[in-house]
Amino acid sequence: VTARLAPTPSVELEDLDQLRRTWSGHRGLWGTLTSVDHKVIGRRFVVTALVFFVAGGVLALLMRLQLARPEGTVLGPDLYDEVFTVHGSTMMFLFGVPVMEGLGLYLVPLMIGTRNMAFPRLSAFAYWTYLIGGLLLWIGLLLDVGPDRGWFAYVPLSGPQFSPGKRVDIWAQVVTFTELAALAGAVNQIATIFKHRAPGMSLDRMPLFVWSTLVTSFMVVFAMPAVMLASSQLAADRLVGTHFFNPAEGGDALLYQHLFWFFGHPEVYIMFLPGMGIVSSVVAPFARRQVFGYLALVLSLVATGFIGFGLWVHHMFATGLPQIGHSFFTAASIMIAVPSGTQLFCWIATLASGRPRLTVPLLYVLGFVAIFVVGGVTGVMLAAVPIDLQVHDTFFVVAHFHYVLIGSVVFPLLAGVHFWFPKATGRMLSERLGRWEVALAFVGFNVAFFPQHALGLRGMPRRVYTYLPETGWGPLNLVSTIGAFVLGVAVLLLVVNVVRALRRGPLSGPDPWSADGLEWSTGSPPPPHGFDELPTVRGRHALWTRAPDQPVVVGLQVQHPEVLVTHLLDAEPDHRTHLPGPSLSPFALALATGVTFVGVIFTPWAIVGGGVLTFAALVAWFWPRPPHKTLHWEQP
Amino acid sequence: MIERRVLDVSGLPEIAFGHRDPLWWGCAGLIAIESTMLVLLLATYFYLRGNFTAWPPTGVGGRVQAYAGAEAAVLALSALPTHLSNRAALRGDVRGIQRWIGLLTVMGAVFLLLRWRVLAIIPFRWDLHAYGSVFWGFLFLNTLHALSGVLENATILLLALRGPIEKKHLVDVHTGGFLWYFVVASWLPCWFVLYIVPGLLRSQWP
Repeated sequence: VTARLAPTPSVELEDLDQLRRTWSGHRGLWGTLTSVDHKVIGRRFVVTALVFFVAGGVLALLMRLQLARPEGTVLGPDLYDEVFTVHGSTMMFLFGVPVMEGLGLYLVPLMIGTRNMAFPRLSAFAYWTYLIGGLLLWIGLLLDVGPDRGWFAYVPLSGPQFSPGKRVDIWAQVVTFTELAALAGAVNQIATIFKHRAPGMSLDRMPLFVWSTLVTSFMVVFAMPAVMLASSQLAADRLVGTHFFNPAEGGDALLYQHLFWFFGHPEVYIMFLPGMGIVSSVVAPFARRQVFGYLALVLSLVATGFIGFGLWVHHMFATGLPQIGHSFFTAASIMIAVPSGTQLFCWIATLASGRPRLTVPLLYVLGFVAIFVVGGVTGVMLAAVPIDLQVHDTFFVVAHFHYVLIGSVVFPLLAGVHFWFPKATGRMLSERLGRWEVALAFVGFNVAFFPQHALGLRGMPRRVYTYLPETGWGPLNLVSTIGAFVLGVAVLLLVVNVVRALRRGPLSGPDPWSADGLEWSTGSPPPPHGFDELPTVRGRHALWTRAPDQPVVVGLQVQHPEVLVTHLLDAEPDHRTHLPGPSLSPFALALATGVTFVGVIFTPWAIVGGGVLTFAALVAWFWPRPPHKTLHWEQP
Repeated sequence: MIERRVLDVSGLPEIAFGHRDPLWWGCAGLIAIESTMLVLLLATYFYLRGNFTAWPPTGVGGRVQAYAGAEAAVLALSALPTHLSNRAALRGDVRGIQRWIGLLTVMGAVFLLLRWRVLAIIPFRWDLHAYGSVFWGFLFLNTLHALSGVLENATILLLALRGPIEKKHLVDVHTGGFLWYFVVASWLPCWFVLYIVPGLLRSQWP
């Protein structure tokens, strides 16, 4: 097909009503359980992940209170173990990955100009699975069966011999749940980004956030199976007496570390790359110019995706590996600084050559740059084996990864929240409160974590519930605790800002920032069908480069949820396809898998019982229901 | 009315096969995930091998070897009806789909029966040693793949026999074939590593 002149100024009004009806979900509780709209599910993902972020943050504050002075008495040793494990597991599995997954679910279809994800029900399934996993972890903590072996649950400590009870089993199943959700989300994103981009949005015109989501999704596909395997083997060792990690019968404890970190290191980039995508999205509109070095930025994302898989052994330098391995993984770890540095220079160039507007999203980005550089530098330090061996398992490492993760995940995320909040809600956040947030978060963060470098160098180990006064670690720990509370106040301010804006924030209109992405061309919040008119694209920064008479897509059915499928490379129109509407199946399937995974904590027969339930739910999912789509000409 | 340029897509087809179809990419993703699992399990297998002086520490025995060989043969042959049902789907030939998916389902069921026998007569359990654990790990994962493949094929067969058949079901048949190809292609190298390689290397391994 080619664009042709036609006397249709815009979609007719009655068609718009029909479009809205076609793409709207049900109302009430039924609507909640059956919604497959990417905007609804993406929003749920982000809100749920932020709730877990606050909950994990409260655990962090409890730990800081305990460590604020020597021989603290806030938490006992056993509870402290549970608290740091649940804090780490929450931040990694229930906040870092899902919040970016949710942001991607919300934004990607809007950014590429389509009406929903390629597999709408899979998005819903991912959310329910994630929610069940998150509840399992926290209900466990409240019932005093919270996992207590660290967020990576190393064997042999987490094996059947040294960890009787169900705490580790709960951890293993939480991992399975959340990884399943992440995998479902990743496959969905790959298919959506490859096949549903607006006509004209060839790969080299794709927004950088979409690129970052694409690379992240591929990383999820190849990294998450490793941790699912490791946690399943651990669960099997504990439940049915296998010996994967039991040295007495030929198993191997180090194997667990290899499998875990083959996932665990890419995991860092799985959280970090969407952050880079957010930064690129924010920098351009606020520098008021196209982003500098688009190609370099894309290649850096892709390079990080590849190199990220070659670093895992640097988490294991202290385990006595061959020298040649040390050299290789040191080199690879230092190499990752190249794409990261390239991106940083591109953003600096964009800002330096633009006319920056110092609004809250950009301030968060500037905070990110400062913090991330420190985290990157300590990362290069830790890549050197002699330094790593010296500070292994000390607070230096804690400081390092909080600089990297809070710097490159939380700060960009908050930039993104301020940037896209008007799009999702139709209202503006307060700029004045926002500036207080940034200032407090930046100061609080540095006061909390910078002293931990020094504590680590002075020998304070990680994961100790207290220390003696003679160590001299007290004053710096007190400073760190004060900083943590300041950071907590910043998060509280964000909550206040959001609640105020939802009630009486000024209306934003479709494009309050004069930004470049397609998402800004539709209403705020977007209608259920995403766009009144499906757009076409003729350049990067779609809105800035569109022609005055840029064609729109017409000819899709409005009675059914029909979307356009385009070619992978050049996004030429290929065919039309129907998407499924609201359905209870995702919820039912998530419940069935939930019964299976939770049952497996207690008996292996849950696999059989749960398997039958899961199969039944799957048949219900796939079995065609009237009204039937276009029938084939030959019937049995 | 103002004249305006539009891109009219109403003439485009409603279905497309292979990598033009989003569902194909969904399946490719699933296959990538499961393949990564199997590759990591193979890595586990060879990693654990370093901890043993004799590998395998316990032989599987001739009967298991024979059943496993029969399994592998049935599985390899099942690629043929898969190919033919794919071609029938491309032609829109419902009778052909019924015939070849029917045969494919039967062959899958035979494979599962043979697997049942193998599981019953393996001379060691998963809790004997780490070799037993990883060996049973392979069988568990592959049995799961094959079982879900057979159930899927049976469901498609039921649909093809009962109707009503929507146009997009032809794509589903084709994509289901893609998944079964994965079951075949992923098990044969595992079978080779588990049953054949130890015999080939026994003399050289200390």
